[in-house]
Amino acid sequence: MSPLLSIARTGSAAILLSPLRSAVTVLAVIAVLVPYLVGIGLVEGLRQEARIAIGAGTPAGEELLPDLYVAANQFGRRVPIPVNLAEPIGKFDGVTRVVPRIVGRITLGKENVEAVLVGMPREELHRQGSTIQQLTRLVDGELPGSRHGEGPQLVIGSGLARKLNLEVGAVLPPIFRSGGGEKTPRVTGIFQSDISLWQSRMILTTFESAADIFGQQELATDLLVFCRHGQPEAIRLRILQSIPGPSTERATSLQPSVTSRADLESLLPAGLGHREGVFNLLFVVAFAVGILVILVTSGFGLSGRRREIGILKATGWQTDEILVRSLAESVLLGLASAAIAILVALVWLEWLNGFWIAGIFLAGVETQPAFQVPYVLAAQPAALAALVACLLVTTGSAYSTWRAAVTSPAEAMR
Amino acid sequence: MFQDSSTRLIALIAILVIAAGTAVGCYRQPVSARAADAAGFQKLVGGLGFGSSVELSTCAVQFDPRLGVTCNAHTGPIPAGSLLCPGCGRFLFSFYPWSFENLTGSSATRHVPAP
Amino acid sequence: MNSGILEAESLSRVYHPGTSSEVRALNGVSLVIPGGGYVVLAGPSGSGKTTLLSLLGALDRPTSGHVKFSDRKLDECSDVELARQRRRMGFVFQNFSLIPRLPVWENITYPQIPRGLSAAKRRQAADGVLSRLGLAAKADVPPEELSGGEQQRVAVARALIGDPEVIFADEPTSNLDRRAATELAAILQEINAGGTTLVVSTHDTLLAESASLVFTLEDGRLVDETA
Repeated sequence: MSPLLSIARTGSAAILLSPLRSAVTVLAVIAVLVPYLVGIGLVEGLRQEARIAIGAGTPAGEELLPDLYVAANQFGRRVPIPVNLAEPIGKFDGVTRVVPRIVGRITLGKENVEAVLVGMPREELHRQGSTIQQLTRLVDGELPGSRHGEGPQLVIGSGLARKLNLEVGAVLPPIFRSGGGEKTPRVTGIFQSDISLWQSRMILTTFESAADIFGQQELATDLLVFCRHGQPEAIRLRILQSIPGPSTERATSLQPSVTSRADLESLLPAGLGHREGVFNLLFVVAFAVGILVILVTSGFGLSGRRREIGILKATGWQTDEILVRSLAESVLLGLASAAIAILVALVWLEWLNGFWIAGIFLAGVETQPAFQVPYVLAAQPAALAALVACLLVTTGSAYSTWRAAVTSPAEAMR
Repeated sequence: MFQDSSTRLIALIAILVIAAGTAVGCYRQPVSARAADAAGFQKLVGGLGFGSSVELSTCAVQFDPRLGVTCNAHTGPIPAGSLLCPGCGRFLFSFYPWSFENLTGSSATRHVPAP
Repeated sequence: MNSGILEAESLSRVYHPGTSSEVRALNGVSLVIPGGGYVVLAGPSGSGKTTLLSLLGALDRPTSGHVKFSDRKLDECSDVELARQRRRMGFVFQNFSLIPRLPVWENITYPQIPRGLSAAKRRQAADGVLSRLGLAAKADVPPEELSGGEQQRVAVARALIGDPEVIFADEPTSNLDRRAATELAAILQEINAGGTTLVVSTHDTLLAESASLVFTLEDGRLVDETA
């Protein structure tokens, strides 16, 4: 066997000779790597879901999601847009249809559970619903608006259903009064937990019901504009230049803002490379802390380690051979730590559904998420984790080993 | 025997590395099925949800940038001010909220006075 | 001065020079170790025996003076060269200095690993030496499970494994009972009878009686040389 291989094999013996130190080192590296891998996995999963949410990659001509989102700004703040602007926009050449939408925030129950209330026109809901092959894969129950004359019909997210103990057919406490008296909202469906994370706290109802709930008639949060292929940019310009302002008794002016799919697609890499994000900073801090921890654990049994190196030198080992031994030990510990960290991260994301840790990275998520946590753990971050682990362990133990290795055997063994 | 233990340790580490590599290489969430379901959901709600929040109270922009232009809690230009925002400062997938000027074509906007 | 296997020329060793805790452990010691000899370094505690042994065995570098091993000046050797010279020597330490948890046969053959010997060959060599020292049955046992005398014999086995030209032993019997010390003294004599030069630092008369040359040190100086 080559001398180098023989020496490198003693690295594994060195691990067994200091089991406590080795175990603490591995645990320290795992503690640093697992949150990193889980976070990176969640980012990739989120990215995929976000692309779907904006219809990125939709084949040309397929009208799956709106091409433009038209909202209003006043004094630089987002304000509701009048619904009656849908008609003039709908007449623009290239526009196939305009759909008003309400997206707002409400609270439910005694615990004031946060929810996102979304109101879509009844016709649009059923139009889209009819294009979905297996609606039961999305909703356990019926879409809202299927029964006329009744109170508000709601499809609620899986998280809300669990939090408020609601089932299909359940009745919510009245949440508004209208000219027609109190209307009792009824749950007609519950979103399946594995279709999207954003359904978790969502309530989907008809536009009319949402308007009643918020007490805002003739207003929408935004107008969803569907365009023919190749038309969105031209239509966007036309909207910005020529839509009439609202007709009200007081002089008011609204500035329209138009968001396109391309705008949203450009946000994706910006979001992931968000320099002010704490994640990279946290990880750098964790890396530094990890090195310190390993430096400290290297100090545990340092005198024993020094003596051991002194004995090796006294019996004819050279300094570089001792360093190779230490490097082999560090690489083995690093690889073991990285492999365990990857497996732990995968188990945590898949089988434990991101228990507790998903709530650290995602807002509004319970300790046990009520939806299937999206994640993708790719080869690149896994390989990076292995490299980081080896670097961590090597850096943490390099100095103490080098100091002992260059010391004379007599002094090292003192 | 120690020598055997040493060899077994190397073998164990090799197995762990292979297991981790296999898990990463082979295991995937059933993307296509989930993607189809997610696309169906998005059709129903008209495209909603984008960031690392599932509700609106923390930061509407982090739920979906289509809902908000400016972020009320954004505390720049204090040094590291964005880190103080519990919304933007918290998440690993966060995007800088648009100012009005960021929007393409905003120079083409005009005030639309009410008649 | 007649040339021997080892020569010391005006050796001095000062610890923590220039500080308040400066210690002059050795002061201008010159001697010659003849090849094949059984040499004892005698003297009271603190006389510099261990320091001299460390310098002769290339475990430390002198503050001044030279050590020659087979006409090669050790102080002129690089770290790598020094390690190679150490492979021609064997060392037996006072407190055994075995690696805990590592089985006896691996403790003995650790010096051979950088030479690329396979585990099987190393095991074979270890079994040979252990049989010679009556420890064949203890080959797979960790040092902690051995008696003091057995541990010291393992240390001797480790010193012997590389067929050294010279073996240094620093107070090898100081931690042993009388019976174990007598056994060890006999082993060392037998090793020397085989042609290996022996340099032993001790104030055990049992070992001094077998010596062909005794150097007496006092306060870091050589005060007597007795054949």
